[in-house]
Amino acid sequence: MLKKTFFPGNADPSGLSFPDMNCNLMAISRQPRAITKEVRKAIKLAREFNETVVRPNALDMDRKIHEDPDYLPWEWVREANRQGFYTMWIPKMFGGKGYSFTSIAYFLEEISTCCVGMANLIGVHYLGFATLIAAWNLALTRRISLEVIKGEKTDTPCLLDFAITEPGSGTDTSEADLADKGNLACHAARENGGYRVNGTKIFISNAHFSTWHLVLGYEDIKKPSDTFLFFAVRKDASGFSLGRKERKMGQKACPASELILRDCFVPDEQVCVDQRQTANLSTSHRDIYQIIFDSICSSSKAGVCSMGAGISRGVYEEVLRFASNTRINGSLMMNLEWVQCRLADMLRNVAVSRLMYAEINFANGMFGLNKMLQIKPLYYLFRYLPIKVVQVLSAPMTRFPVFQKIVRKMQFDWKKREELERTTGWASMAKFTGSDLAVENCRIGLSLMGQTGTRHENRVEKFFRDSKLLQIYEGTNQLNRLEAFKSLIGRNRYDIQMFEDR
Amino acid sequence: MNQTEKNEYKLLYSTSREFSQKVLLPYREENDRYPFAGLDQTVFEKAYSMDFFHLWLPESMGGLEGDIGKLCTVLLNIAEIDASMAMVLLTNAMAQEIMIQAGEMDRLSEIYSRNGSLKYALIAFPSFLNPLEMTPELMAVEKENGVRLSGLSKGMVMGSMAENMIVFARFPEDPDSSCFLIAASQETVRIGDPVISLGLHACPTVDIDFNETPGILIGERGRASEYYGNMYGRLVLAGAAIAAGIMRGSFTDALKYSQSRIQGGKKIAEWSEVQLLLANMALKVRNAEMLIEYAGAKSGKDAIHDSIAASIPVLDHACDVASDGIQILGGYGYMEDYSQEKRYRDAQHLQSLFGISCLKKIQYVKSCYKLA
Ligand SMILES: Cc1cc2nc3c(=O)[nH]c(=O)nc-3n(C[C@H](O)[C@H](O)[C@H](O)COP(=O)(O)OP(=O)(O)OC[C@H]3O[C@@H](n4cnc5c(N)ncnc54)[C@H](O)[C@@H]3O)c2cc1C
Repeated sequence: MLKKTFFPGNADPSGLSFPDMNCNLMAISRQPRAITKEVRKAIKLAREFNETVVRPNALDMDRKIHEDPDYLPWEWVREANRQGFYTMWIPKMFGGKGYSFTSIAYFLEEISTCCVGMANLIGVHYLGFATLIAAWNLALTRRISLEVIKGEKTDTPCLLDFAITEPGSGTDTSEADLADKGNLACHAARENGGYRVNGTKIFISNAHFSTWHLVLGYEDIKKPSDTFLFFAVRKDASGFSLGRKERKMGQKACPASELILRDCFVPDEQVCVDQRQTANLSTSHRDIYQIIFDSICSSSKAGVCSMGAGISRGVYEEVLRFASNTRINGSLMMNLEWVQCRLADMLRNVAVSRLMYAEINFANGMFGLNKMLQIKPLYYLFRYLPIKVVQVLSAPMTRFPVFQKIVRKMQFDWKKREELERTTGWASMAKFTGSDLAVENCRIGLSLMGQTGTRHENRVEKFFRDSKLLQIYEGTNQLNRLEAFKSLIGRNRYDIQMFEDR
Repeated sequence: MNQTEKNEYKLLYSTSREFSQKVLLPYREENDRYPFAGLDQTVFEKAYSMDFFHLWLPESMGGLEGDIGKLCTVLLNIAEIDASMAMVLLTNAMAQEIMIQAGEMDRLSEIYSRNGSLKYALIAFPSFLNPLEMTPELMAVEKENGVRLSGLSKGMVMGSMAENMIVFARFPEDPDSSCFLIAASQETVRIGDPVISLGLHACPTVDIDFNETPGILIGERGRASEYYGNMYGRLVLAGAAIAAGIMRGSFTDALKYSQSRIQGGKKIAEWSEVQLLLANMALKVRNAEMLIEYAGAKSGKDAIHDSIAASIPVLDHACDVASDGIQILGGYGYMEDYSQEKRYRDAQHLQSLFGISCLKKIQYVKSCYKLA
């Protein structure tokens, strides 16, 4: 069981403690100030990339994929790779540029103001990477990171994706309680030296571009959370193939595809985490399932929220332009009160989304996946030492299993339940807020622009199509509301039952 | 309603449903790919052969004498399967109604008495442009040999298929615009590429460039806003019927899916949060149907205000319902293989029918309550 260190005595009447509701204040003195500089740098890089690559081509790319649904925008992936975006948020100890995870959200917001599909082409890679990190398999993380870095140097992008969804299991996958009642089918049979995997994954973003697929499987499909394993499959593994590429309504630049594993052998070195690796921990394998999921999602949902903020802002900017250039019965739209108020609503939506992802970033930095790397001395050490030196210093950590054991002990056994709940709750709230507001801004935008808004060349209709997906992936917004309830509202009440609707 | 009328309704109901299921459905996905793939004409030809393009015309021209209830029945059934075709039919009715409002019955009759073919039965019209809101870009000039039109008419629905079109244009000296009938097959008419749009893909739309093109003034000069306003009052409910069709289709598919998809060990329809989503959808669908039925049965001045009051919320609700319709299908709902994403786009696109959504609301309260 997870350690329960939370006592209602610390909390306000609704059961929330000061840190629960004030991650930002908690972070003021404790988070390294240099992160602000990183954020500025990340925004600057994103803006340059937008100006040269994304904005001039976003509509053409969307049109091209409308025309040929099988088209894969390799040119964008290669360009992002050349710019170093696939190693930028890999910690220096694994050979990456070591930007803090906080800055990726700002970066993704910026890219999403032009094309959220492009933002996903970068963001999903880090979802795969977060899986490696959350499983705390340092050797495998290092191995794969080095390949990503080599891919950058040799101009052959090496991307990661994250594959959990199956034809019969979407919502069920990310909650242990639901998974155990669900219909999961990706079976990993233990064999000498590894696993023989059979199963199909669907809707996997970036699958067609990825070299490494981070896949979730189960030794016993009847007991998924007790027997889960995450493993990495290389694109050229025998028994592995890509299936159909989906024809999506929006976010067309980012393909979503099927992964097929037929008697695919996964050697032990490519297993991120399984029952054997967690046997010596006091936390149950089932609880680790939830910790890993919650840690990954706390990080990636900040990203989804920031993409929502990006869309909200992109639409807002288009509407602003429209209202500044359009006359209604002779009056400039911008001078009509109802337009002014709608623009204020739209800007509010941008601001709220940004505040939400800022808060989950603070939470992650203080209590979540980024915590370790944002401890000031460690952060500054890693920040100012050259990558090579950091790699040499941290090499023992990735080589000697004892370090792996210590890290896992810290991350799984010593993990405080309330910290996990805090990050999970905020991430879920940020996710459904950012995505709902993005859709709302698109709808306000379209209702303001009339037929002009419905035309492809004016960008807003693309934002509208793109934004809807944010309410679905990373768990539907319904599930995210339930997760927010579970993590922040129902957590200390023993009369609460989750996923037991009758 | 007498027995004959009831029978007529029944017949219209069943023929429009049959048309939707048997003719539209098989082509829906393929035609939605337009303009990135060809637009199969079968559905248009079939609709023509079933006299759907004549629905709004007076009885003498083979129509239903402008019976809004009947038109709504047909459009709702068709939109349940494919809102694009319903929009094509409504566009035709809008153009016809402008001519009726302008007292151009002879010209209308002339169009429909000509050697029948689809091309001649269609009248292109800028269905999403409201001349009460925005001044048309197209300019008219009186020349010795008649009126000449120059400039761009944007968003001409059916502009690439119809032989005739109704446009709004302004004489420089007039404060208000006028309506014109133009024949498409003239050298000075340059039809642009298909507009790539959010939804209603199989309802082809183009921008048309005119260069000193001869046009026939419809009705009187400078009265376009008036004709448009009257047409709007008479046909606004038909737009709501299309929205209601989208909603009904979305709800039907969502309900069916929720009763077969299993998550967490049971049908998703058994989760109360899903039930609430379904309930919100069902209520909005039923409300829309009731509002349309109620307003459709009214007559006189009340009918116009009530039709507008019924329609505007229905257009908004269609966007909500179509969004929830995707949500219930989860990731599958986002894919083009399922019709929910199409309905989502169509519903949002449709919201701009007759002009900018918020302006229609403001216009409603102004005209109902005599606000300045
Ligand atoms: C374009 C795209 C990209 C994606 N990328 C990835 C990816 O990279 N990797 C990956 O693994 N997955 C990915 N996904 C999958 C995504 O995470 C799932 O679609 C999502 O989790 C929902 O699952 P589902 O589609 O199976 O819907 P379902 O789980 O079938 O849900 C259907 C409906 O039922 C509701 N529902 C289900 N269970 C409950 C419950 N217990 N209580 C209340 N309501 C419930 C849902 O909220 C939803 O409204 C992607 C999906 C899409 C569409």
